[in-house]
Amino acid sequence: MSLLEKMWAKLGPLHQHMDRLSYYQLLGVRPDDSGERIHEAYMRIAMLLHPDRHHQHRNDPVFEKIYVLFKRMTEGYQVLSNPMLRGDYDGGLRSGKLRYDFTGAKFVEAESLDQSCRSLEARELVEMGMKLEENGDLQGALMNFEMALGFEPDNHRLAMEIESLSEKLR
Amino acid sequence: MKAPVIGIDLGTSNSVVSVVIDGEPVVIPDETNRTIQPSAVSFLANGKIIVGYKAKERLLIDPLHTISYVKRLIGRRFDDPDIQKAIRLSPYPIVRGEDDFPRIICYDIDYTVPEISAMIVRRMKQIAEKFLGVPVEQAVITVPANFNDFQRNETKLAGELAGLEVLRIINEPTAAALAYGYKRGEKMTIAIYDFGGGTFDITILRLNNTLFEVLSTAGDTFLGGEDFDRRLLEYMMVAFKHQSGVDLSNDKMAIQRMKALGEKVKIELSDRKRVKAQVKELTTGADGPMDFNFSITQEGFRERCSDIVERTFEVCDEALGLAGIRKREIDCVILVGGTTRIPFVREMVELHFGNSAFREINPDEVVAIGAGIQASILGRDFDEESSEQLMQAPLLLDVTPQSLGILTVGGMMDVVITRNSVIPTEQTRYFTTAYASQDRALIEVFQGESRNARENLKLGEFELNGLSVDERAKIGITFEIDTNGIVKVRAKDDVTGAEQQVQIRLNTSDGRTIENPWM
Repeated sequence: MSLLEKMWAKLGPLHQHMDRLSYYQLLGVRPDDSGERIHEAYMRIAMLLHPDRHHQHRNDPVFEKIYVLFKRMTEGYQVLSNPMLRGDYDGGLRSGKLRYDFTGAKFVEAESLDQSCRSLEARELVEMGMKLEENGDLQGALMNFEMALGFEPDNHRLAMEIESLSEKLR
Repeated sequence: MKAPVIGIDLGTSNSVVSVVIDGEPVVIPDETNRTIQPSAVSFLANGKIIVGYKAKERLLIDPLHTISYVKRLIGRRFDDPDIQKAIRLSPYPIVRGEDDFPRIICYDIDYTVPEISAMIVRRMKQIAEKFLGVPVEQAVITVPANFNDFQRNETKLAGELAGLEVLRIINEPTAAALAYGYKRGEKMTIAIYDFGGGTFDITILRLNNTLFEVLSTAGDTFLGGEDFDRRLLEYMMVAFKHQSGVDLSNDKMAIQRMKALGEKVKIELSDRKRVKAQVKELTTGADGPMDFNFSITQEGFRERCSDIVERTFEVCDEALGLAGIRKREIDCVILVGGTTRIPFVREMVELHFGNSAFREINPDEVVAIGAGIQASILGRDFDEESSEQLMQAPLLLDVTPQSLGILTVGGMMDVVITRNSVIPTEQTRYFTTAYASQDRALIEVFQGESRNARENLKLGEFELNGLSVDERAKIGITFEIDTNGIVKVRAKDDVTGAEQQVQIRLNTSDGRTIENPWM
């Protein structure tokens, strides 16, 4: 069996049920996974399924099917990797909407960390943390960000920052 | 031996071709061992066409039949200000074609812009074939990141006219990053600062082992080396007026000569602290011919132009914002484009990006090498390989640099695909009739960032015919940006499941109307 066929054997069901799966299911991640995790998952998918990988077989009918699936996964990644869109999507998902409605979507350019805070408490802590980070005190910055997250557990942008900062410290 | 896929940097001034052999990128030399070919085409009276060095030599001997800088014309309509500017400067006639795109006339034959470009591509193909000893059939060609849909399509067309299947159109800064990061196996964030003659681009990219992920790209199509030339020209005019009391602002001939001098001075200032120049008999005054003596230092040049460089930093900040990262997270900055050869530009960029390391790579060959690497990615057949090998092979994940949208109520742009989306990507919009008797609708497609659709570039329009009068029926139109960054439009089955007879026509850049291949 060729590589493409082997892949299709696994991906066929996913393709077939594409319209009944959430972005989380399509990307193989959990709804409470961090932005970092979602990024890793999509990158792995891209390494295997991106059309450039199978360019020599672009006339194979399986190629087209995998391409369609990959585009849907990319759509999922685009939404889940943007904290703002992800928040909206999660809201819709609770009422059963599996795809994000891009009509009239506000594509907010990546928020700065302090702008992502809704509460005054969190914002003050984040501002303090950003100053510490600027001065090279990553440990202190991390502590501030974690405290801020205590006020806003659903702040994805902040959670992402904490994740990347703790990785740097490791 | 199966012919490898080649990578071509089809540049404004020069073109370069490369290929990857046994995993190693090779820049292909011509018969005389030169790797860089001037992007010039010269027509001889006997019907022969010559390309490259020999054509460039003829620029001065036979300017009427020697064409250069054709890349500035590609994918632009005749009314485009850049075409109008080219017409004023070019010695050969450029006229309006039936399709509103320009035609270049040589010996009474009119050529489209892609036809001329194809002659350069054909020469690069020939060089590669001689070197490899096999016919070459497929290629990857580079374009500036800010090239729009028309420009990408016409570049692709040029490749096809040269007898090549164009597997991919790839952005130049991205190609530069591929060349830099290939086989490096590191984890780093790279900024490609691409400052050319007429445009500025910044691309931010994350490298993780073999995966190249473009985070954002931003640019200014009206910012480039020409702005420096203009400043120098203004300075020279003031200096001449000071010297002689003569105002040259209406003397076109003298302005041309000063401009040429300015370009030379700019280049010489890259190596020298001070440049002195003279133009003999620049103009004729009351007492006969007047010479112009001029001198400028690097510091003087910097003082007059540093604000232009500052403007590039605003674009850099925009790209950083789009990528969601901070300046100090950039690990290295790669400089591309002729304008980055100016010493104070390098200094200012270095200062702006702080401690991020500068990387020196051959600026003339780096884009072609990247194209060659992308070519080898597309040419590789993984069928006998394992998914582990797939995970270790290089891959480029690119984004679309411009938003795609449709005209909506009040002239506003309804963004269908936002810029910086990972490509390939697609979005579907549903259309219903506004009132019962309406059975057709005109959809106009635009590319750009202005909220006012008409301020963006119109790619084309298509009409939806035979819309159902059933008010629940909707027609889904899917807009796709493929891996080349090229826009495709197709009709989708309507939500009720019934087949809709819709006809879609999207005007192509060469004015032909194509039937939608999906229908």
